Amino acid sequence: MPIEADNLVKRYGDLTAVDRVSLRVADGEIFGLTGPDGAGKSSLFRMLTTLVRPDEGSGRVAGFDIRTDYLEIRKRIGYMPDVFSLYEDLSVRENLHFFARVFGVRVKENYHLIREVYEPLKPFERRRAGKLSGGMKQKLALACALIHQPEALFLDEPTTGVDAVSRKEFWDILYRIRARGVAILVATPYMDEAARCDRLGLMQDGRLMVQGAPQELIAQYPHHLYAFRAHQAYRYLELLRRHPRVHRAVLAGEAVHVSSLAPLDPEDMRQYLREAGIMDFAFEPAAPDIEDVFIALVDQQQPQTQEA
Amino acid sequence: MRTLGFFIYKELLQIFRNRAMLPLLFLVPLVQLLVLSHVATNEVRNLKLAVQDNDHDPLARRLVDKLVASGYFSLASLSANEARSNALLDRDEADLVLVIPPRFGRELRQGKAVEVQLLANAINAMKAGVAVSYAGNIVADYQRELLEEGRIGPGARLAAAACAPGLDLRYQHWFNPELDYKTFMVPGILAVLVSMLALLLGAMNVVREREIGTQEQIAVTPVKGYIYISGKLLPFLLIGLVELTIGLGIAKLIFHTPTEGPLALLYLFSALTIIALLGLGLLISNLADTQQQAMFVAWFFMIIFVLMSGLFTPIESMPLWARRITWFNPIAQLVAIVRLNMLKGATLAEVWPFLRHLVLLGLGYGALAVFFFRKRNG
Repeated sequence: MPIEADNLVKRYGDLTAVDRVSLRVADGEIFGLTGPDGAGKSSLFRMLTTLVRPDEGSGRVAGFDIRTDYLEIRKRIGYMPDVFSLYEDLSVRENLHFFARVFGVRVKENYHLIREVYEPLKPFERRRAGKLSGGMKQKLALACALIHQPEALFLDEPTTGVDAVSRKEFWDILYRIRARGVAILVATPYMDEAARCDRLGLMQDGRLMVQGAPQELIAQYPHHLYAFRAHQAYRYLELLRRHPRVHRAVLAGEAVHVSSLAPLDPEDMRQYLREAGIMDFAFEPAAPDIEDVFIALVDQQQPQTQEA
Repeated sequence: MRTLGFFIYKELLQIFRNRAMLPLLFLVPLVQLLVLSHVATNEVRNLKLAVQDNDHDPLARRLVDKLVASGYFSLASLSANEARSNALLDRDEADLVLVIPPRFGRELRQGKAVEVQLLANAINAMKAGVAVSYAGNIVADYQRELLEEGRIGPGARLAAAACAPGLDLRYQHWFNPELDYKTFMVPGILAVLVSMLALLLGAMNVVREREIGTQEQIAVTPVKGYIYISGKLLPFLLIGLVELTIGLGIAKLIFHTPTEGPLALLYLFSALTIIALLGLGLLISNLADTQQQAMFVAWFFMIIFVLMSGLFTPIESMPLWARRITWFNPIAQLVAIVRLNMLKGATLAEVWPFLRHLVLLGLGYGALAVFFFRKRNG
């Protein structure tokens, strides 16, 4: 397995940033990590990329121990931190060549590895990296992380601040990299991206609460879910929450996802809404998505904070 | 080594691309040099001279004329008696009293040894020393002149005895008889300016990379820590030596400083000083989170180092505790060596203690910096 973590723990003072996390990523697999800010995703990345030592537990990357063989690991992984960290005052081309040299490879010899990422950047080779758009910056960072043919790729929220089109392109490229057999661990705050991963882990307060293929996770959804649609549906959140049998009502795009612990009769609900004076709306059973699964899991962990 | 070369190349690219950096690197030290070279001099003019002539011989008159003609002295009083001389010194109306003994001219013509007295106003010790030394030189010159003209007996010797209460007149300008301070201060000032800049920019440069987040990206590559750090600091050694060369060229054009002989030593010592200061810069960078913090801490050291370097105030006249502090000051070593070297072309044996001292300082600061760097970056 290119990426293995066993009961990794990282503490900062009293805070346990990562709490006994274990996961495996196979060759040619995209493993997604999702969860709120501060859940411990970045700390987990920093341990696996040998930037910090774990306090407990063990890990192996590309077959080497993250505590002792970090120099070997660093030759074999690509890492994109959560903030753009290439040299903004160097050109696109200078950045790429610099990172190639750092890994002791030549751009010419390894160009086939980055062709699909780098080709769109070619016309801007002489432009300073700091002057690129968000999408182009992230392609350049990916090219720099791929140039030395890594066995494992660590991408920490790579599409933050990137437009929707560029995000889709980025994932198309990730699938092609996966096809070459690279193990990819990617953190993402976007649920639509999480659903695109081969397997997915949900992190909260340093713990990896659940992991599995997105469809498996969705199948484990413990509640009953309905979608409420109306013009400016968000205005009726409070009304929906006041209904005694509604467990939760949260925004999901334009709609409101309403969950309940026991099945609801949609017609009863429609009656309740009409009595409140809403005329033009729809209330139907709905299929849960990853975000619903995640919210349900968080509820189970911390029922006392559900009103927050 | 190839990786290090690539890091240095990358760093130089970034430095020369930074619009604020170029004027800072090349204009500032040159302007400072042009200004400071005029103030860091011990040259004193318009010294007030009183003459107590007890002989009134033409040869005595000629000595007085010669002193005044040198341009360093202006005649404040002539034909004073002893009481009046002392009063002039007391009232600060004279900086120097020349006492010409009775039978001055006759004894010189007879080929005897004659001594004139120089009484200096020692309130300003530096000024007194300079005044006595100028006058002493002119007196010696005068004797040579008279001998060559055959006006005095072949065995005649003219000496100046200095007398200044509480003044230690070891201060002698044997190796710089014209007292042209610019000649030897300019290279010294230049070396000081260039190495201070290395301290400031070196410290800021390391912090900058941490600030913009690229240090983390480099940390997950197989590059070794010492290559990374050398790559960040060595460009400033190169730039410093290039600046020194440019500055010396300009100094030669403007001040006509001599550039033969001891230049190799100047480069060697400048390089060692820069390396020691880069070590200190790295140490500072570990204790600072932002470039601004690094700049303030570096600035603190810069002020202390320059003011306590002996460039403007002699270290010998500092209290003991201050002299002990200068032991840690690479700039003090640099100034001392530049003085020694530029004045008389020092030999390797003479510079060896300074060389050893600078290397020790460099190793000390470097070791501390590496220790804290390891601690900070795990």
